[in-house]
Amino acid sequence: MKHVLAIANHIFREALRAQVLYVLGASGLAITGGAVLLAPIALGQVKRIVIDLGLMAMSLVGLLLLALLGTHLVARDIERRTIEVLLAKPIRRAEYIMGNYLGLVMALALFVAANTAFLSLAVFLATGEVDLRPLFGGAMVLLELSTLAAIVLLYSSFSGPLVAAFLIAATYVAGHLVGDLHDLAVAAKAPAFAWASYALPNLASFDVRPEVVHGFAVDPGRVLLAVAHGASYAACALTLAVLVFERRELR
Amino acid sequence: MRRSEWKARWLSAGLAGVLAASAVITSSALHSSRQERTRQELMYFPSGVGLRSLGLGQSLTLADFLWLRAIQYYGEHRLTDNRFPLAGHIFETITQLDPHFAEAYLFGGLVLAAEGGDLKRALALLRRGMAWNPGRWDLAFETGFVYYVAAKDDAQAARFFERACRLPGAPALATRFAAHLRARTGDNETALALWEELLRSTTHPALRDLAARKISSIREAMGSARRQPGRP
Repeated sequence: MKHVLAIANHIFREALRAQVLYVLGASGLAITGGAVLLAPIALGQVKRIVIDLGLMAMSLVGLLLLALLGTHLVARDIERRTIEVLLAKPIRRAEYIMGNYLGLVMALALFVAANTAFLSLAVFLATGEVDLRPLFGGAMVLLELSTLAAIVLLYSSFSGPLVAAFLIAATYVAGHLVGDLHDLAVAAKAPAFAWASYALPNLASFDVRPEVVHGFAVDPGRVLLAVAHGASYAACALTLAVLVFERRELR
Repeated sequence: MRRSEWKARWLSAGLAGVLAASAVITSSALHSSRQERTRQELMYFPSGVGLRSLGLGQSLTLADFLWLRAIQYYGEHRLTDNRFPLAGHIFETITQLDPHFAEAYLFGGLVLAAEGGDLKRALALLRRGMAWNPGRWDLAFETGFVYYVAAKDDAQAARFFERACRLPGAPALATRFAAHLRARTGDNETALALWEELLRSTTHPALRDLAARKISSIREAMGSARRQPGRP
């Protein structure tokens, strides 16, 4: 466990030193801040627009962070040959993958926390109201990004950064269309494809923007189901990543 | 490879299988808990239904952008030709992307009825809004308003004002309008009940005075109608 935490700590510090975290983090803040400026033309809907754009920016910018930061973690260590030093310590390959995952999630948590705090501030500046619902939205975005982080590491365990980035973007798109893909498969009487759609991560289940924007009551059962789905999918992806990485030649 | 390493690999593969099954089961449960949606062809692009599928889960954000664009559309045409041929399509698209965007139904309904000259589409939009947002008194109230002002249908207007006044948060105005229109359509019994309800529920002195006077005049009218049995 101490190896995992040490690697996680190292990855987190590396992420803090990376320019891309600050550039993308600032873009997320800019999108949220820009939404506040739409107040004069929003006809009283500025709160809705600020919360919605803020959560959308968090999700999309978080995906960009994964594509630019997460996909390079393993590849960079292989390229610099630092991975040979690490594995000779000895650090098991499974610990290496878990440490990378934990460090990546810590960086994402920092990004989401900063954006969520700014979002709450933006809502206050736009409306004068203190609203804690964006915190719930931010938590679900972090859950979505944590699931995607595990998938990024799976892709990185067998491919380079460019391929992994492309694959995670495709997974993000497909994950948000799971419901529609399933419906199309059923309408086309293709049960195999309908079942195959369940193999995709159901990223739409983490979307709580209707509840946050409209103030609807949150269904705790649905949230628990989404958490269980995200946790099992991430755990499965990490287990497969370890399996693949165990067999990978590093020279 | 050593026997223990093979064992570890098989255990990991088994664990991955179990976790994959868990992910599939939870995804299936999430899918079956979704609201049933009408299956439509993507040929309706760029309707709200088509945009929702293409929006990659960002349908609320698309609705926000279209809302901003709708306001600009209204403002531009309000200042120029006062014609709004696309208003129906725009507001239908917004509300298809976000069916709980009540303000879009309210603004769209008003624009279509009062300035777009499309009463049928306005009422259809408002009815859909009420179906998706049954707890919003303002949607029922505006429907009543459109029936009263644009359709000149007092009976339907009274029906929707009554519906509004029974919803949480509705102001006394809704009850007053409903009672007034019920009396106008000759439904004195319902009008009396509504004014009595207003008298019971409001503490505003002017409203209490108005309700009391209305109750008195309706009772008088009903009494004189009973004293003249020959009259219809």
